[in-house]
Formats: sequence, C-alpha cells, structure tokens
Amino acid sequence: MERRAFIKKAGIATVGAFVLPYILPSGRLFAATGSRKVNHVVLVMFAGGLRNLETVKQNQSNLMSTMLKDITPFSAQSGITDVLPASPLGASRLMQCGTLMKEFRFKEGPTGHYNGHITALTGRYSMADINLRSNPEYPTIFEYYRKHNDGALNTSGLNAWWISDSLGPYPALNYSSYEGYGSTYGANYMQPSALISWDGYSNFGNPKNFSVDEMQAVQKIRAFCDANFANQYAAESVGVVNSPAERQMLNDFLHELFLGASSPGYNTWGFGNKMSNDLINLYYSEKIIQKFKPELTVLNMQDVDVCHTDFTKYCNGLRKADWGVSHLWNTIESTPGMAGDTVMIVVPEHGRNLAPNTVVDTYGRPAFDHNSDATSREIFCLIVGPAGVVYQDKVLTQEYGESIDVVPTIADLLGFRDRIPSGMLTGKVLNEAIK
Amino acid sequence: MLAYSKIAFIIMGALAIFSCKREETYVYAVNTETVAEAGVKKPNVKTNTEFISITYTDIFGATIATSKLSEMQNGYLAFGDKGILEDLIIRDLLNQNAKQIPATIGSDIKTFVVDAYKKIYNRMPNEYEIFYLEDLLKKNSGISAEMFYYALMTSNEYRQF
Repeated sequence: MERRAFIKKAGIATVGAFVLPYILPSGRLFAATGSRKVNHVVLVMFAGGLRNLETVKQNQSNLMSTMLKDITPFSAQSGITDVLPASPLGASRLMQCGTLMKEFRFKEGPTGHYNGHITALTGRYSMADINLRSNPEYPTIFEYYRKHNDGALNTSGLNAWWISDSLGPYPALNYSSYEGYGSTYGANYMQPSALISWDGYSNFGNPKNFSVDEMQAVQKIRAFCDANFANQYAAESVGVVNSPAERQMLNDFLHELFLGASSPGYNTWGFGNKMSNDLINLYYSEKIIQKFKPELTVLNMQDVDVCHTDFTKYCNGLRKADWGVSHLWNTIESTPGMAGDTVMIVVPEHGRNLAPNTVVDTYGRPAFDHNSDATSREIFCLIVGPAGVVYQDKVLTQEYGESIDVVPTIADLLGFRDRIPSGMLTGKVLNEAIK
Repeated sequence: MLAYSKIAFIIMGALAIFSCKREETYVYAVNTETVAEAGVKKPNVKTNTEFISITYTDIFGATIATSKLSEMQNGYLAFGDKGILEDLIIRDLLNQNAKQIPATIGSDIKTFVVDAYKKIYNRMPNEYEIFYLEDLLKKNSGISAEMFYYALMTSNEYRQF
C-alpha cells in the first residue's frame, strides 16, 4: 500500500514538473532558451552629434568628467563655468566599470540624427532622407526582443521601453513597418517633457474616475459595441497595445508621475531651473526603470545639437549629459532587480564635422554641423556592466566597432541572437567588450 | 377673300398671344436628408488630429481652439499606447463642467440611446442595438448618462469613420 501511494505521488510530481510552468522571480513564465549574460540592457543614445575631439580626446579639457578619466582635467573656460552637483559616482569614473571604445564608427549613410538613431535601433544603415516621420524599414531591437526573446511567447511590452527627449520623428522609432514584426512587438514609448508638463497635466492629469462597479457596467456596454464592430476594427493602426492589466499599471504610473511633478519634492537632483531636456529625459527614464525594471530600455539625449549655432552651449550640454548618464548608472546599480544584472551601452548616433560653419557664438567659438565628413563618422562607445560580463576598465584606442554592432550585442546579452532569422543583421557582437 | 383674311388675322392674333406667354419661374430647394451612414460602415481610422478635435466637439458642442489642439496633440504623440491617452483625453474632458452631454438618461430611454448614437457614432442604432441597450439601461439604474457616453466614446467604432 505504501509503495502504491509512493508511486502515485511520484507520478503526480513528475507530471506536475512537466505541466506546471516555472514562474521566475522576474515574472516571466519560462526561462529564455538562449544563454543570457544579463537580464537587463539599457542603451543610452548620447545623441545630438558629438565630436570625439570634445569627448574622448578632451580638446576642451575633460567635459565628461564623471564618465571619463582625465587626459586633461576639466578647467572652467569663458562661458563654460557651470558648477554641477557632485559626481553621482564619487571619485570613480564610469569607464572603470567597463570598456571604452574610443574609435567607434558610424560608417554609412547620411550623418543625420534620424539615420543615426535608426541604425543604432535596427542594426542596419539607413539612407532615409525623406518621410522622416515613418516607421523604420527594418525591425527594431524592441521587435527582435519581444518576438524572439521567449520563443513563441510575445514578451510583455512593459519590458521594452523607448524614451526620447523630443518628438519630431522619434515617436515612430518604437516599431518598424517590416512584415511579421510591427506594433505587436513594439516598445512602450514616452517623451516625458511633452507629457509630464503643465500642458500635459491640464489635458490628461485630471480625469474623471469611475468606481469598479461603474467600470464593469461601462465595459459591458463597450463590449457590446465592439462586438458589433469587430470585423472592421483596424487594431494595427493605433500603435503599441498593452493588455488591460498592463494598461492599468501604466495609467497608475502616469498618475504617479503627474502627482510627483506637481509636488514640492519633485526633482532633487540639485539643478534647480537649469534642468536641461536631456536631464529631464534621464530623470523620467530612471522612474521607468525603478517602476518596471524593463529588460530592454533605450533612451536618448539631444541637447548638444545646439552646436550648429553655439559651441559653448554644446560644451555645457555635454557636461550635463555626462553627469546625467552617471546618475542613471548609479540609479540602475541602486535598484533591486537591476543592480548587478544590467549592461549599459552609451553611444552617440554620429559625430560632427572637422571644419566649422560660418556661425560664431558670443564667446568667439565657431559652430559645427554634421555633413557626413570623416570626422562626423567618428564616435565612441562605452559599455559598462558586471565584471563577469563586461571587461572592466579597458580602453580600445584603435578603430573597433560600428553602429550596426549595437543591436547584435544587445541580442547576445539578452540571449536571443540565435533566434533572429539569418540575414537580418549584418553587424557583429562587440566581443572586445563583452566576455 | 375677306373670310380668308379674317381667318388669317385670327390665327396671327392667336399665335401672337400664345407665343408671348410669360416664362415660368422655377424655384429649386433641397429636401432635408439625414447624412449619417445607414448601418455600420466605417473603414477609415481617424487621425490623431481628427480624434482629438471630434472628441472635443462631441463633448463640448464647440470647435476646439487651435492652441488647445496643438497642446493635446503633443501630449498624444508623447505616449506609445494610444488607447491609454485616448481614454485619458475622454475622461479628462468628461470631468469638466462645460461638457454638453445629457445630465441624466431620463424616462425615455429609447430616445436617449438613439440621440447618443446619432451624436457619438453619427448614425442611427439598428433595432437590435436599441433593444439590447434599452433593456440594459432599464435593468441597471446605476448606469449614468456620462457612463454611457464614456463607453461609446472608448469603443472601437468611435476610433473610425
């Protein structure tokens, strides 16, 4: 009898082991089948057009003194005198946490902001120069991730975020028009400074709230209406769609952000009224990271594009952006679930010309455009992360890596690169930085 | 001879009289017609500008100011899940005192349903829709006019035209 009971229990346990899914601490139903190196990747598009001359070569002294070790320590110069809050990383520099590739390249296509972003997000160089508000032609990293991360399962959109610091063409970069991908696999998108603003609050921040019972009645009427219209509804045209439960979470999150922005404790970063658009974008990116702990987050900065007319403001913008990126890393490393399990990639979308244009700023400094000369293709790439995954305190001074390598590297880190159909990506994994 | 002259004179006179008949004046007018589409046939998705503008007009009975439209468009573009923003737009507008939707459903539920469909969906409800919704509202006195309008405006049909 005991033997029979044992066999019965063992049988049930065995069947259960096969049938019942294993719910991971991250909330995912099954472990990814590829070999993941980390569970979170944050891509920072240090965009707006940065010349290596002012970044890694430090021609204006070290304007990125929280991220980079000094070649020439920062020194205040006429117009470049802002006193920033203390480095979020203390005495250490961000580059010590990973590998700095000083001679990265944006090799092909026009050195335009849109092309640069598309390349970093799709792993394909783009020749697009018209219809800038259209979705990319090839799948984005968000779509590769959501479609291929869990095999047949579509990974939750709350795990993939695109956060841009301006509107223009950028809202369209969260998914492509490529057949078989598209909005179903797109990222959740936010442009914080347009939404979490006074205008945003006055238009979206004070909604009528219905009770649970009232909402149930509303849903019953709506379901009836939708059932009568089901055959004509064009769901694909309305962008990324989250599940009802996820939408509730997003609604609550927006409510929190509106409340936070209107409370006295808002923004304790110490910049007062000198918060730039870049810093605002980083601030809300941190809120998203703390709230959802996404597996894939991409954000950008663009304030330095002022360099077309004002080189001094470009230098000041660069210093603030540098401070903000280090603050972001500090937050990642202080957030349970992200700390020690995140790789952050920092890369400009393109550089700027060697020769100036005709504009001179009030401090007598010439301005620079980006018209696809050789200097405008020279950028850097910094990858930081856990010592077991990223080579620490390593600097590559020879030419290595290009913009199309970012997507394969992210796919490799998150363990789904092998499931991307062959021929889709032409770049390589940055193995000089990733172990 | 004289008789022929007389006859000819009479004929000439008759011709003169009848050929000088005054021209009639025609007045053209247009009959009153309902322009709402019969049945549900709305294959086109509203653009974000159309959605915001039409929603504002449906709730306030007035045209949205250009500056207000621009503000709302920027916010709308700034979030990826449009369903969430559309819901927030509608609930925010419904929360304002100036809204022009019925305060109550009233005793004539059928008329309320028909009016709501004409205003929100720009069409007459069919007999089944009237029957189902009239019955639903009769049995659920807790459903307010505001809830009914909110349900229609957040449905898929409202997103298209």
